[in-house]
Amino acid sequence: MKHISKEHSTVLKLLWVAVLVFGVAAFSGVHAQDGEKLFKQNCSACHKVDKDLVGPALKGVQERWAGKEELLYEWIKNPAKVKDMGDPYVDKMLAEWMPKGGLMAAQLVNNEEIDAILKYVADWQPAVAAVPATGTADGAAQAPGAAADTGISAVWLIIVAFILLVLIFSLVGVRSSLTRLNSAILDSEGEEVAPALSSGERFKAWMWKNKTFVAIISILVLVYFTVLGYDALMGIGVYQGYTPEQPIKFNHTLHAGTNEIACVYCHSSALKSKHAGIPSANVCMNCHTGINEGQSAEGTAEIAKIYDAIGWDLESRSYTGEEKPIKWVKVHNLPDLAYFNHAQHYVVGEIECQECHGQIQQDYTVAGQFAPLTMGWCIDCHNNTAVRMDGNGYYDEVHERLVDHGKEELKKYLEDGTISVKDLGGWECSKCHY
Amino acid sequence: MNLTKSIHIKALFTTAFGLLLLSSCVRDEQSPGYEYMPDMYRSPAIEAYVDYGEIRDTIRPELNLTMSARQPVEGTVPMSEYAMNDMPYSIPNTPEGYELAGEVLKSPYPQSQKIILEGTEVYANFCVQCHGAKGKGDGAVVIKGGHPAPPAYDGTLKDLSEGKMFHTITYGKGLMGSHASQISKSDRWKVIAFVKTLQNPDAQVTEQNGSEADTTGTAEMPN
Repeated sequence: MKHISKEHSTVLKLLWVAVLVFGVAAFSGVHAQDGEKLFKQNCSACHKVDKDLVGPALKGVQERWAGKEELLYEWIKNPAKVKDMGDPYVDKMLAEWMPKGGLMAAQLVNNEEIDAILKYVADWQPAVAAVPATGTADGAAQAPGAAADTGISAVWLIIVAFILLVLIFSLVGVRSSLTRLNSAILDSEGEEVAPALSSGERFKAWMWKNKTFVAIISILVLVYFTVLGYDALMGIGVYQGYTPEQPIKFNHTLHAGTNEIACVYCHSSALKSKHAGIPSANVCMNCHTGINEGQSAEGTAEIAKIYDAIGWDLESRSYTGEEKPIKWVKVHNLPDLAYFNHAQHYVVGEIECQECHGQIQQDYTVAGQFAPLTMGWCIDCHNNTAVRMDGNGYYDEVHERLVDHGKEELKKYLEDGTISVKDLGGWECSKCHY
Repeated sequence: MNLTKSIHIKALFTTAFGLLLLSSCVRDEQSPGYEYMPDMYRSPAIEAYVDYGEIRDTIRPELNLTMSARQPVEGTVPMSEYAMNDMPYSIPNTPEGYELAGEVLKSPYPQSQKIILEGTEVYANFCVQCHGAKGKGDGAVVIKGGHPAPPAYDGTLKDLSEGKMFHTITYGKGLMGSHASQISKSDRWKVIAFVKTLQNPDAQVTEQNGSEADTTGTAEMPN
């Protein structure tokens, strides 16, 4: 420091002062763009700018509180205190909104931040209608489109078959008239006419002449009917691929995929019971009280079906009490002779939902049956899947007995060194049939 | 001339046949398929989610709301070691009730590592999609789904008492709906134990693991 001259140190001091002054100026003032952030942090859980939500729409709040700015600051920071002050406007507002959303929570904001929020609200403009998000909306629209495609191809097949039939008949007609003409010519010329053959004999002769073609067609017919018969027999009672149209086109890809909602959030019975459960409409309403517009017009219409079923009036944001059941179509139907338990597999066995239901968060919009649910499929998995014992809790005792103390004993039963469900009795008939 | 004609016919016939084979591969997604001996599938023992009043277009109104089990009498308490947790919740869903819950309700569980771990699982299933992994109100439903953000646990909700949390999970508050149908009372207290760690990330956890009788919550074997 000794070497620094006096002028230098003065310059340094000045620099410091400048930096401090500008720093304080930059950080103390709350910028307008912070208003949006502050609004989202503190207000948006209950308020929208343009629409009533849990609390009233904030548009025009400054006009409503005109002349009582100090009280507004106080209200936002400590509503419980202002509530009892007896201001006529506050009393009127509370009478309207308290029954719906309760008292507003005290917000940890200072007056400057409140000013920023109020400025954001005052300057707020509705967002310009964006280009509708394609991805998921298209996904939802594809399912009916695909069904329509198969319909069209069936129609085309019928048309092609009809044209072929017409061709065959006309060719047969041409052939027979040619034969008649030929024999008439021969007859008129006094030559010997070949003896008329019956159509059966002619067909026989034709088959004899076209042995290769007849053989190929016969093999094709045989294979076709064998495969058809085998498929029909093996498909009896197997619903694999069954994707019926549901009363609400619920989009699994959007909910479980994009929005990362856990499967058991809606199918919460899978944690505790035999059934995974179809969520009741109140579970839908946990989010859809806040989200009433889908990503497309179709989505909005589907959400409206929930409101219709549970009796939610969007205008007054309250339940009307008029409820209608949603008639979901049952997809998976295990015959009554077999027992299956979701909790046993999901909680104890730690089997992911996707192992039996497919990549439902990516591939499905409306759910269909992914697994065949045949007995062969069940016991294959019981044979091949190693029991997930580590840190599981449910298997601590079995694991200890089998692995830690009974390794020699265990080897007698294990061929491949892994403990499968089968080794724990997963192939006993009475595990599933009783 | 005869030869060319017959080749034409053969080609046409084979093509038509091939198309027929292809068309048989189309499966009707709207139909479950065939059932052999439907009685084996649709037995008189009542299965859930089956409308016995309308099976395969056969309408039998008298079977419309067939139930295998009756609802327990209102206020029924399960007999178990968790009975105290499963007592009916008597505080009403009013602003006064919310304040009251904050004063009187206390968690039956200790703030131990084990309970927090079990609460973490509940949080991952039922809370994370809105409140976010760190409880900052930035879950996927908020970021990607456009749902309004809930307040942060280490912000506005830093001093929220456990009783108020329990009341909120039970009845819902603001835009959050009631989660009483999805989360059992025991699980509610466990997830609150985890949320408390989000409110105060630096707080110490009492290390009295597993000695309490009521911490064996997840060892119930479903049957």
